[in-house]
Amino acid sequence: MVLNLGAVRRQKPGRAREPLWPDAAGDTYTVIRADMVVVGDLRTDGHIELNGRIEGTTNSRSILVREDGWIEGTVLADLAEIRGTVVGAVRAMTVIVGTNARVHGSIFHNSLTIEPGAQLEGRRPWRPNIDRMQDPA
Amino acid sequence: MFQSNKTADSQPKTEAAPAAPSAPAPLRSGAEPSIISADLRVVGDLHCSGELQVKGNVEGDIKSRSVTIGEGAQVQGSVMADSVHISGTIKGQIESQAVTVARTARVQGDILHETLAVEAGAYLDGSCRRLETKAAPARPAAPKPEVKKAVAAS
Repeated sequence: MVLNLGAVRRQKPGRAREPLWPDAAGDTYTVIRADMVVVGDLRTDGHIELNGRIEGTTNSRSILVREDGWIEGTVLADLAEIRGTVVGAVRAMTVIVGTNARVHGSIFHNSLTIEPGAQLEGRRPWRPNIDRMQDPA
Repeated sequence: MFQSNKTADSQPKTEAAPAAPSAPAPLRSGAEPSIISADLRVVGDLHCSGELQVKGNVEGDIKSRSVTIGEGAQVQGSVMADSVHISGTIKGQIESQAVTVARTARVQGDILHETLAVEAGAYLDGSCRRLETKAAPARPAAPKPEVKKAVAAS
């Protein structure tokens, strides 16, 4: 299925933030390397870069799941770029799913980009607005 | 097409060799530290076989090879590592071969250590006891011989 990206983008509310990967040296940039496992929930208004594993919910402004990254749990974000594995739901205004990504769960999105080769199992429902702060998860 | 202009290109050093995704991928040792940023809050446990820098808020236990609790960081839970450097606040037990407590640190809990350094001005509320048994700290990583040698030689 190829989404009509143009139509979706035109409907995007003004609230949606432009994709931003903040400065890696800043106070809002969390890095979880490949040698690290988090068993629990993470919450931040900044950015998460994931090479390791998270077993739990993440709530962040933006998240980048790299090829080795692995999440078992819900991903809440304004911007989610998935290049690794997510077992659980993704809820983000803007979702980018990379070539080697595997997502076993629904992707709730306002704008979704899927690169060829991504393995997706689950629904991809469009929503007019996804507010990670009000999300119950 | 969208091939990570913003991500991979700007940070080539963190990019691993491409591999078929297998969940979960085996843990690998990284040269660079993992960082819990200042505005991040973790409710849960952290396990790391390398280096970990905590600048944010952790409610849970930390196990790592090397842990740095930065200034402004808050940890509620136990910390177990080969080496621990504390500049922030910890409520919980610390168990480590080498413990360094900086001037800005606030520690409420016991410190189990082999070598301990406390800077003047640090707030310590708890007992400091020496680890006599080598096998005491349970480490997630393979034992690091260079650390043991350094301790034995001193």
